[in-house]
Amino acid sequence: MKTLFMAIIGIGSLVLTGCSNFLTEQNKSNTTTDTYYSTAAGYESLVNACYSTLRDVYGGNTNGSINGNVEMFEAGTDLFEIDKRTGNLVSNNNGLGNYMNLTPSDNVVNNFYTTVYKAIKRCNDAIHYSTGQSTTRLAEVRFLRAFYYFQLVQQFGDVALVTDYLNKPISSYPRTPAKDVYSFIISEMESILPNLPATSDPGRVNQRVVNHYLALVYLTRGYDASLGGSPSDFTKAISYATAAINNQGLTLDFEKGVFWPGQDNNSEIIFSVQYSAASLPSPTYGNSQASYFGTYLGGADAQTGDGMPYENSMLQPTGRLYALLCQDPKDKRFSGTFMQMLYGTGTPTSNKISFYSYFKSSPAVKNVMYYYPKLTDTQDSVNAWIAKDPANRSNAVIKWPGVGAINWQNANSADKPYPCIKKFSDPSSSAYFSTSSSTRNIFLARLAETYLIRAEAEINANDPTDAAKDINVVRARAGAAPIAASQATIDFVLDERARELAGEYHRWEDLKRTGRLTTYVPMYNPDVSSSSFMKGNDGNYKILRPIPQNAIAVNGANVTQNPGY
Amino acid sequence: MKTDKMRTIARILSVLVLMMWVSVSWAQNRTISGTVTDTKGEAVIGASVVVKGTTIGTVTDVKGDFTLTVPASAKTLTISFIGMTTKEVPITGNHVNVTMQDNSVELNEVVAIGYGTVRKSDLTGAVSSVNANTVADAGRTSVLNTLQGAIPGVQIQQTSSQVGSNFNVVIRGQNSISGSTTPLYVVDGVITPNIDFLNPQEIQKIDILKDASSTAIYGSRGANGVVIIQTKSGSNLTKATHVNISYDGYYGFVNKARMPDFMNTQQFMQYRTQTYQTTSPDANGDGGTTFNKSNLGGVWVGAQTLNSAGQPLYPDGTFSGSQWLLNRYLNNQSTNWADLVTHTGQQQNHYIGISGSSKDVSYVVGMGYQNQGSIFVNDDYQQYNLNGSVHAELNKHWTAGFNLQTAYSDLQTGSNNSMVDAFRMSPIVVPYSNGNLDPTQNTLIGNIIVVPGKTTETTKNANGYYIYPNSIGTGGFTSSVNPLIDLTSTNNDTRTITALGNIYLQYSPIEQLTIKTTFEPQIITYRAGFYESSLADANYNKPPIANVENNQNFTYTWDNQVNYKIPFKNTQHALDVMGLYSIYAGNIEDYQINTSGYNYDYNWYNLGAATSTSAGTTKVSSYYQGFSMMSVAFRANYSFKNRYLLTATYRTDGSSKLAPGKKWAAFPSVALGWRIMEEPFMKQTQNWLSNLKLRASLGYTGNNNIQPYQTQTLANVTTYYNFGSTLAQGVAAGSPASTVLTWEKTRELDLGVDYGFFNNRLNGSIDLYDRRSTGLLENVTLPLESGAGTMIENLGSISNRGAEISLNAAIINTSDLTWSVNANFATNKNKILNLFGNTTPGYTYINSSTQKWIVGQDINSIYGYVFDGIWTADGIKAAIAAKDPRVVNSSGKVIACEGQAKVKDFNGNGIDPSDRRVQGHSDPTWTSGFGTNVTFKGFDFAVNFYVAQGMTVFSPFMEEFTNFKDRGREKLNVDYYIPAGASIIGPDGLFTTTTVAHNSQSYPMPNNYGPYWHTSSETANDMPGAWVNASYVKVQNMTLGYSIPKKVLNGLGIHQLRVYCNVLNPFIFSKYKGFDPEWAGASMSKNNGPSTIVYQLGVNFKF
Repeated sequence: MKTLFMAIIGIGSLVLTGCSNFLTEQNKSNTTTDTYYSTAAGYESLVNACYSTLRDVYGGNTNGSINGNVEMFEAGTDLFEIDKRTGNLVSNNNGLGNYMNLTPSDNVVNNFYTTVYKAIKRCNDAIHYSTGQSTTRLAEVRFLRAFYYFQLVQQFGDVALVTDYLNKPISSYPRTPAKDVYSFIISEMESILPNLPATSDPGRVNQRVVNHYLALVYLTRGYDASLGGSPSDFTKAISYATAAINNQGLTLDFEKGVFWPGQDNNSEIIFSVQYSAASLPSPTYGNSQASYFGTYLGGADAQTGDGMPYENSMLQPTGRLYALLCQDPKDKRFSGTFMQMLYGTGTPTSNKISFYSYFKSSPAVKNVMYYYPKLTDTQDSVNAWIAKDPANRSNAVIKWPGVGAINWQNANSADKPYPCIKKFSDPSSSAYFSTSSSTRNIFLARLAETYLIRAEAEINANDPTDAAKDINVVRARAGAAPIAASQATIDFVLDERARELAGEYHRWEDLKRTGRLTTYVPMYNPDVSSSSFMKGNDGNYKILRPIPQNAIAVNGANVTQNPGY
Repeated sequence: MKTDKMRTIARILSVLVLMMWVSVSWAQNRTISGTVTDTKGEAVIGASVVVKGTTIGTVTDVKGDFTLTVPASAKTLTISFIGMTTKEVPITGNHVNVTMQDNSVELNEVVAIGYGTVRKSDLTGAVSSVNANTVADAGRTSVLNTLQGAIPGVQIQQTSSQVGSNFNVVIRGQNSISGSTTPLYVVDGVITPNIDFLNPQEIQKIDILKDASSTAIYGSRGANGVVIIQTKSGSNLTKATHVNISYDGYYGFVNKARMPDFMNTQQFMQYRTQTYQTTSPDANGDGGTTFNKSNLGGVWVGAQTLNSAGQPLYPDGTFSGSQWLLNRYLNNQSTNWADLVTHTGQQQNHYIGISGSSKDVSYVVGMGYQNQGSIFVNDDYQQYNLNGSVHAELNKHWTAGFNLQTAYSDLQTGSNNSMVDAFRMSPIVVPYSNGNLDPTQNTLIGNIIVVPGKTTETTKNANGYYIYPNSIGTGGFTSSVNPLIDLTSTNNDTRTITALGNIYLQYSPIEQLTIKTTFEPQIITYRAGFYESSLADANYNKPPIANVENNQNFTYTWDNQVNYKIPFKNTQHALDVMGLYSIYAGNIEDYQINTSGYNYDYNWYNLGAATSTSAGTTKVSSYYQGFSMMSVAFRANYSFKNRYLLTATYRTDGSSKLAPGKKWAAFPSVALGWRIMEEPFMKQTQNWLSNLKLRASLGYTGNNNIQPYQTQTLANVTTYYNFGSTLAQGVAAGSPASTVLTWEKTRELDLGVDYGFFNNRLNGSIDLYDRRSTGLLENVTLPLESGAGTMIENLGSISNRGAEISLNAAIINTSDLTWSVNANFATNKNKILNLFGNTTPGYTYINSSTQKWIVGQDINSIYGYVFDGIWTADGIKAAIAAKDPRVVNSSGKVIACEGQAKVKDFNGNGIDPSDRRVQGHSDPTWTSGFGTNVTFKGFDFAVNFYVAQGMTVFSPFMEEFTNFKDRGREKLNVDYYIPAGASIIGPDGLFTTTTVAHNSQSYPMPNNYGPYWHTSSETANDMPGAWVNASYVKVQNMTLGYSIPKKVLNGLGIHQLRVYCNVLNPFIFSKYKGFDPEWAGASMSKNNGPSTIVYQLGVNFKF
C-alpha cells in the first residue's frame, strides 16, 4: 500500500520535472523584444524605430493630432509671433507664444517632454539589445539619445538622466543637474565619434553630424560657467565646427539649391528628419513644419492638384524678421524665404489662390493676385516689377508692409496680410486638408549653420576676423554685402542666423544660449510688450520651460519646479 | 473508431433496458412485502429496498409496493430513494409500511467542495447549495438568473434587458480593481469561462464555495469564489434501477413593463419651449433673471423670427411655424416610438432527460431546446443542448465513465441603436410619411422617413409665406436615423458551440484508497457576424460595414487525484487525505475580417465583395493566445469524536502568465468546525435545539485575471522612416512588461454558525467574513521620464467585510398542507485600502468620466458635488444678501441664476473641488432573498423576492433623459423648474409669459441647469442629475402549480405530472424612474431597454 502511494508521488514528481517547459509562455502571434532584437534584422528595425522618433519630436504626425512641437523652438521669439488672422495659437495654446500664460500644464511643453522621453526610452531599448550587433548602429543610437538630452537640457535645465533599460516599474526619477547632463552629452558624443563613418546615407548619423552637434554643445555650454562651461569650450566648438565644415563651401543657391522641393538631401544638409512620400503609411503622416509657417491659401484650384485649400498658420513672422530680410536689398534670402508673389485666379475674395504654381516649371496659373514688396521697395520699383509681365501682374494687389512699423496685428485672413514662408512648401502633397502632410525633410543641421556656429564661437574666443570670414561665407552665397571684422558681434550673428535659418527650429535656443531671450523678445515680439510678461509670479524670468505638471504628478521623486512657474 | 464507440454505447443501453424490468432475488427462507409512501401518503415508486449488509434487494413498483425474499438472518431493511432520507426498518413481521421523508433540509446532504464531497454536517467552510428544483422552478432562461437572491453573499445582477445579456456576479464583494469579479465555474468538474450554455433544466445541484478555506483548493483561481455545478448528467448518476424519463417545459410571453413616464407631445413642446430661451442673471446684480427669447421661434421649426408681439405669426396672421407640428400639438398626438420597436416576445424551454442504471452501469441522456424571445423586435436567442454520460463499475476495483455536454446557441441582438434611438425620438415626430397633407393623419402608413427628426419639406402659402404642411416637415429635432430603418439595417449574430466533458478512470485497490485520473477537455468556438448598411444610425451615409470573427478556444485539464481514508483502530478518529496533481492548458485562436464598402446587403456572407467597389476596404487580423497552469494540492479532513473537525488545504499553482521566477505561489488554508450538538452536555437541549455547529476558517486564494503575455515586452509597434530613397520601416517595443509580476492574493477569515431548531424545521447559518486582497494587479501610469505609458504592477489592496444570514423554516408540515419560508440576508462593506501604493484616505484616482477610485471608500463610489435643490428667486436674492460665494463671486458678480441646480458648499468659500463628497456606491449595501412556498394537497404556490438596497448609481438613462440641454430628443416627464417671466407655450401653441414661478426642487430649468447638473467640461465627473438611488425590491416570480394525484397517474403509468403557471418580475418597488433598477447603471448604447414581465405555462412530466 505504502509503496503504491510512494509510486504515485514518484510518478507525479516525474511528470512535474519532465514538464519544466510546460509553464513557458508560447506567444505565436507576436514576437518578443528579446527574440526579435537579437536578430540582425530585428536590431536594424529597432534602430530604424529610434530614428523614427525624430518624426515624432519634430514633425508631428497622425493627422496633426500631435503637433511637431514647433512652438518649443520658434514661438515667443523675436522672429515669430502668434498668428493673428485665425487666432490658431491663441485658441489652442498661447503659453509659449506670450510667456504670460505659460504654465506647467502647457500642452505643447507636455507633449515635447513626453515625446522626447519616449524617444530616449526607445534608444535605451536599442542600447540594451546592442550586444553582438553593429557598433556603428550602436553609436548612431547613442548619438540620438545624447542629442535628445541636449534638447531637454536646453529647454528644461536639470532633467532626469535615464539611461537604463526599463523592465520593472520605477516610480522615482529625480532631476539630474544640467551640468552633469552636459558632461554626459559630451562624453557620449565624443566617445562614439570614432565608431562612425565619415559619410553615410542621408539622414543617418555620421561623424559630420556628431562634429556639428559637438560644436553646438560646446558653444552652448561655453556661455554658462554653472553648466561647467569655460572659454576652452569655444575653442573646442571651433575645432569641431571646422571638422564638420571639412572645407566645404556654400555653393548651392539658397532658394533653388538648398530649399527647392525635391532636393532635400543636398550636399549642404548635415542632419535632417527624413520624410519620403513612400515611407508614409498615409499621406497625413507627414510633418507640420510647412503648415506652421505658411498661410497656404487655396480653394477650388486644389481640385486640380495645384494648391492647398487649407489655410493654416500657427506662427506669423514678426516685423523684425521681415525687416532683417529686407536689410540688404540684394539679399536673395528675402525672396527665398517668403512667398512674395501669390498666384491665383478669380477675384481676391474667392480665395482661388494657386499657391503651388510658383514651384511648377510651367505653371497653369501665372496670374499674380498678391504681391508683397520689401520695405525698401517704392511704387516705382513695384511698377518696374509689374512692367516685367504686365499681363500677369497688373491686377496684383500690392500688400505694402507699411512704412516703418509693420502692423499685421488685426488683419483677417481674407486680407492675406503678410507673406507666408515658402521654403518648407511641399507642392507634392496630396492631402489638401491636412496640416501634417508635408513630405519635405526637416533640416536640423546644415552647413551654413555650422559656419555661423563657428563664427559665434570665434567671437566668443575673441577672433572677430575669422568670425567675419565665416559670416561672409554665408552672406556671399545670399548675395548680401560682406561685413567687416568690427561688425562681427553676437548680435550680428543672431541677425544673420535669423536671415539664414528662420523657421528651422533654432531661434528660441539661440536666444537662450546667447542670453538675449529677455531683451530681444520684449523688444521685437508684439505679443510680449514688456519683459514683465516673461516673469512668473515668483518674480523670476521664465527662461527655462516648466516641468510639465503631468510629470511632477506621477514622479515619485521630489521635483522642484523651474523658476518662474 | 467512432462507430465502435457508438455501438458499445448502444449495446450498453439495450442491456440496460432489458435489465431494468428484471429484478431477481436469489435468497430464500422468507418473503416480506411492504409499501413505501411519502409523508403525503403517495406511493414512492422505484425506492430501493435492500437487506442491510447484503446485496439482496428490490425496488418498489408503481403502487409503492415491494416483495422481497430475505434470508432468515436478515434483521433490517434499508430503504432509500433519491431526495429522501434513507430509512432503516427492523424486520418484525411479514409486512412493513414505511413512510419516507423529504431530505431537502437534511444534514446528511452532500456538498461539493471541489475534488470531492463532504456531508454537510462535516463541512467546515462557507458553502451554500441550491438544488435542482430551485433552479428549474424559477422559470429563468439563464442559470445565473435563477441564483439571484437564492444565496446570501452572492450578488447577481442582470446588466441589460437585452436578450442574452450578461449577469454581473459578485461573491462577497469586489476584490480586484482591474480583474473581473466572475467566479470560477466548474461544471461537472470542468472549469469553464461561463455557464450560459447550460439549460437550467439540466441542473442537478449548484454549490457555491464562498470562503477561502473552501476555495483554496482552487488556489490561484478561487479568489472570486467557486460555483460548482452538477448537471443531471454529471457524476451524481441516479441509482434508480428503472428508466426514468422526464420532460420539463414551459412556454412564455415576455412583455415590456413599467415603462418610464416619458413626455407626450404637449409636455414635450412645453419642455422644448423652455430650451429655446436662454437665461442669465440680471446685469444689475439684484438677483433677478434676464431672459433672451430671441430664438423662441425655433420651437416651431419654421418660424425663425417672431412678430413684434413675440409670436410665431406672419404679418398676415398665419402661423409661421410648422402648421403640421402645431396640429400635432393641438391634438396632443404622440408617437409611441417604443411600441414600434418592441413586441411581445415568446419564449420556450423544453428538456427531456432519460436516466437509468443496472447494477454496474448507469447512464443519463438529456436534450434541451430553448428559445428566448425578447421584447425587442429582431432580438432572439436559441440554444440546443445535448448531453449524456455513462458511469460503469467495471469490477470491484475499477470504475470508469464519461460525461459530455454540448450546446449550440445562436444569439441575435438585432440592431445596435434602434432601441436607444426609439426612446430618443420625440413624440411629436412621426415615423411614416403618409404622402398627403392631412395634418391630423397619424396612422402608420406611407413610407418610412429615414431621418424623421430632420427632413424638411416646405411650401408657400398664397401670400408667399412658408407653410410647413407636410408630415415630414419636422426638421431640427434630431439627426438620428429612424429606428425602424436601423432595425432592418443592422445585424448582429453570434453562434457559439460549446462542448465539454470528462472521461475518468478510478482504481480502488483497497477500500480506503482511490486513485482517479480525469481528463477534461473543452472547446468553445464562436462566430460573430456584424453588418451595418449605409442606413444604419451608426453608419449613416457611410459605406456598409461587414465584420466577422471566428474564435476557437480549446482547453483541457488533467486531474490526477488520490484519496486515502486513513484507517484508525480508534474509531473516534477519522482522517481523509486527498492529493491532487493537475495540469491545465489551452489556447485561443481568433480570426477577424473587417470590411466595408458594398453595393448590396450581403451581411457578412460575401466579404470578398468589398473589394469589388472602389470604396471597399478589408482589414484582416488574427491572434493566438496560449496559457498553461500546473498545480499540486493536498487536503486533509480530520474529525475527532465526530464533533471536532479540521480541514487543511494547501495548493501550489504555477502559471505561464506570470514572470519567470514569479510563476509559482502557494495558497494554504485551514478551517475548524465544532459540532457542539454532539457534546454530551448538549443532551438536554436536543428537544428544541437540533443542530449547532461553529465554524472558523482562514485561507489564501489568488486571482489570475490577467491576459497572457503581460510579462513579455513585444516588438509590435511599426514605425516609418527613410534614409534618402531607402525605406527604413522599423519595429519598436510595445508597452514595457514588468518582469516582477505575480499573483493577486486574497486572505479571508470566516466565522460561521450553523443552527437548527425543532428537529431542524427551523435551520440556517450565519457567517461573518473579513477578506483582504493584496498585490492587486493595477495598470499603473509610469512617470513621463520612463518614456513608457503604463505598466501592470502588483499594487493596491481592497478589503471586503460582511455578514450573511440564512434561514429556512418549515412552518406547517402536515400531509395536506405545508408552508415553508426561506430567507437570507447579506451585507458587504467594500473599501479600497491601497491604490497605486497610496494608502492615504481620500487619495483619488479618476478611473473614468463617471467613476473615481478613492482610498478608504467603496471601489464603486459615486463622488462629486452634492445636489442641494434648485435656486429659487428668493433663494438667489437671499444668497446675494448673504454674499453666498455660490451666487456672488469674489468680484461681486452674480454667477448663479434662478432655476439652476444648486450644490452644497461645505466650507463656505464657493464651489471648488473640495466640496465633492462620496455620495454612495453602486453596489448594494445589503441584499436579501425571501421566498415562501405553500402546498395544499396537489397545489403548490411559491413566491420569491429579491431585495437590493443602498445603491446609488450613475444612470446613463437619467443622463440621457434629463439632459436639459438637448431640445430635440424625448425627455422623462419630470417636474422641472420654470421661473416667473419665462415663456411658456399656451394651449393654442402661442407663447405667453408666466407670472408665477413653477417651483421644483428636484429638476432645474431646461437650458438653464447651471454648471452642476450634467456634464460640462470642468465638471465632467459631476452629474448630480444622473446619480440616482437604484435600490429596489423585486418580486422575482410567483408560481402556482398543480400536481395530478398519483392515484390518477398510476393508472396511466405516469410517475409524476405537474402543471404550473409562473409570472416573472410581476412587481418591482423602487424610486428609480428609469427602465429597471437592476440595470440602472447600464449604458444606453446597446439596446438598454425596459423592464419585462414574463408569463409562463409549464409542465413537469416524469415516467
